[in-house]
Amino acid sequence: MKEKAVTMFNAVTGIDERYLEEAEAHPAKPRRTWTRWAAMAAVLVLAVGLGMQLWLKAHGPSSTGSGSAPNNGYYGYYAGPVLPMTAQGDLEGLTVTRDVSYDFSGFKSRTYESFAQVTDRYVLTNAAGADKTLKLCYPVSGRLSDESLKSLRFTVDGADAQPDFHLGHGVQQDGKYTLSWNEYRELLEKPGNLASSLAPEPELDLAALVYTLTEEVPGEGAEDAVNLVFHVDPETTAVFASGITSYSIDDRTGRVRLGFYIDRRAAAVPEPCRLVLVGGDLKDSALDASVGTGTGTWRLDRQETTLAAILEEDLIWLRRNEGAALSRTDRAAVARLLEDRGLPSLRNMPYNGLSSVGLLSSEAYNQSRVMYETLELTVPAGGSLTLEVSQKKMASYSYGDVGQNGGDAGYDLVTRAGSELSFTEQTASVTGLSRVEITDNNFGFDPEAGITEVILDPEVPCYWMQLRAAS
Amino acid sequence: MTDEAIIQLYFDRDEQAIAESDGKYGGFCRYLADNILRNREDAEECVNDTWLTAWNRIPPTRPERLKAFFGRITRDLSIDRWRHDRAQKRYDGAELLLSELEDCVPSPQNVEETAELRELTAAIDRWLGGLEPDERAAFVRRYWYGEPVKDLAEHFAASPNQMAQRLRRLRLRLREALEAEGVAI
Repeated sequence: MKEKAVTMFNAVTGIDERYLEEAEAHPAKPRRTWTRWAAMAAVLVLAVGLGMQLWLKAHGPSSTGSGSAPNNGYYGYYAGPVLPMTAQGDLEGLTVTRDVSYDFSGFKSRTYESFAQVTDRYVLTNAAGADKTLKLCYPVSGRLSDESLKSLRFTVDGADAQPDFHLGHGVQQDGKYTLSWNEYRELLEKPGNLASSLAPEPELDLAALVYTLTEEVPGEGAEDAVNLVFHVDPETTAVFASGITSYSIDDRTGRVRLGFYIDRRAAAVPEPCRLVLVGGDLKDSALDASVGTGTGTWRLDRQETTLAAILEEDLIWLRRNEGAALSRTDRAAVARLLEDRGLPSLRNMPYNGLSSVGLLSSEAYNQSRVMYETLELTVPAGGSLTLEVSQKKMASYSYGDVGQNGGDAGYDLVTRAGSELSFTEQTASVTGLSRVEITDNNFGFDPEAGITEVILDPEVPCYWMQLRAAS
Repeated sequence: MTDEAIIQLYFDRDEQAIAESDGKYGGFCRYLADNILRNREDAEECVNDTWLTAWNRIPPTRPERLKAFFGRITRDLSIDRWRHDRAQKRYDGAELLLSELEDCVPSPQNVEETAELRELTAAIDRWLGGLEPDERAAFVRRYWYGEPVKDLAEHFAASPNQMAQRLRRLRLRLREALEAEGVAI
């Protein structure tokens, strides 16, 4: 097998030189801080007994299914549509008009840095004889890592309002590389989605075993490596590892090899070298220091703990390493991810890989989801109330030639999916058109003919537009 | 000195070509060799052999991209040196790189012939072309430049663990792509 790996190595040697130059010139990513939300509404409530569900494997690109937008699954990055508000409470006698405006004055290019200032404006009119107190629930599509979430602003009758934030659930990726509005619609229309989205996330109070790699006799050199080989039940055991730089898994036999990296120079607290097991224990384990300098000796220290405790420790290390403070969203996002997907076993992990708190946290923050912002408001009897939600909305876009729309950016708007409100009219408009060229759309916009404001048909489930930066 | 001028020195059989090559790309080649061999003396020998190999190839070869040309020679020499020294089980970056690249080896196909090396390279190129730029950079920096995972992690603002996971996913995707094309090794 090593000779085949050498063949792969030699084949990689001959790859296109343009890729070498591109990789060498690749700019370093700035460190992110996760101090986005100052006030969290999430409260961790004890909930034990997570069921085992299949982890979704993402393999291969595919189109996503039918829908009125032609860009289903075609964008390399899908930013998520503007979604319609819904509400909880007595909605009898309540009518709503909606106007969505797109201001492209700030549009820079067709890359991931382009955005439109989107304002989603609702006028709620109460024709009933009594005041109505409602919980307005505004769904926000996107990811926790989206910078655009910071730009969300809410006003009620012109005055700033502070909604409560709810993580919501991730959309089903279901083996696709790219998403479309259909995945969001499916989540919005899933029975119980709104209620569970507004409910607190669970606490992960599951028994776990942690094996920590400890250096008994310090080795020589500033860096070192140690291999740990062991077996677990691949059907029942979830494996989490940290401090590794390589690993291999055989999900038929349950054999796992972890390559731990030890940096003795680290000024900061190094990532802990450890293995966490949930749902089983390891057997037939062996440490191999010969892959490193071979000058130190090592042992594994075993401890019984809980997944919640491990999550807390690893998240604290992760955020400290990023120079950020741990927030409630960190724990809540991982807890919600595991609640939605269940614990992974070796056989059920995406990409047949290992998991770690860092990976789970990264997945949770980069998972496309429908979040909710909620406001308790009273619409007076016989009166009305205006709610405006504005944000810098990222465009969906393609990477280079990937996708049939290669080079275009796009915006989607969903009219009714997931909303209990009775809309009497929905309209849309575009401004700032000196910065963009709308190449296609089903809104009915025709800037050249002066048509920049349109009335939307509620029977059309999704409106879309494609555009590019004006030349 | 420009690459064109250095290449001309080779064509003129002027031994100053070696000094100029080492001066401009010696550090780069030592970086590549060291990532594979993790031994300064061996890496230095491979770099010196790189200039000798280049001297023997130029002319008639006139490299389009001199840096990549030298880098490939250094990689070839380094992996050959690694294979020669492997019996001594010395700690080196190649062991880790190759153990990772094992993940990319496609499962045995029902074909009579294995792919030529250039066919395999072409398939890898096609797969790389379909990647998002960040993914492609991560793969090339790890498996061509041999950049250590911890350095890659810092570059991509990730933890080493996260970086290991991303690389693992890339390796498996490459394997799937090669299997889909029916490429056998």
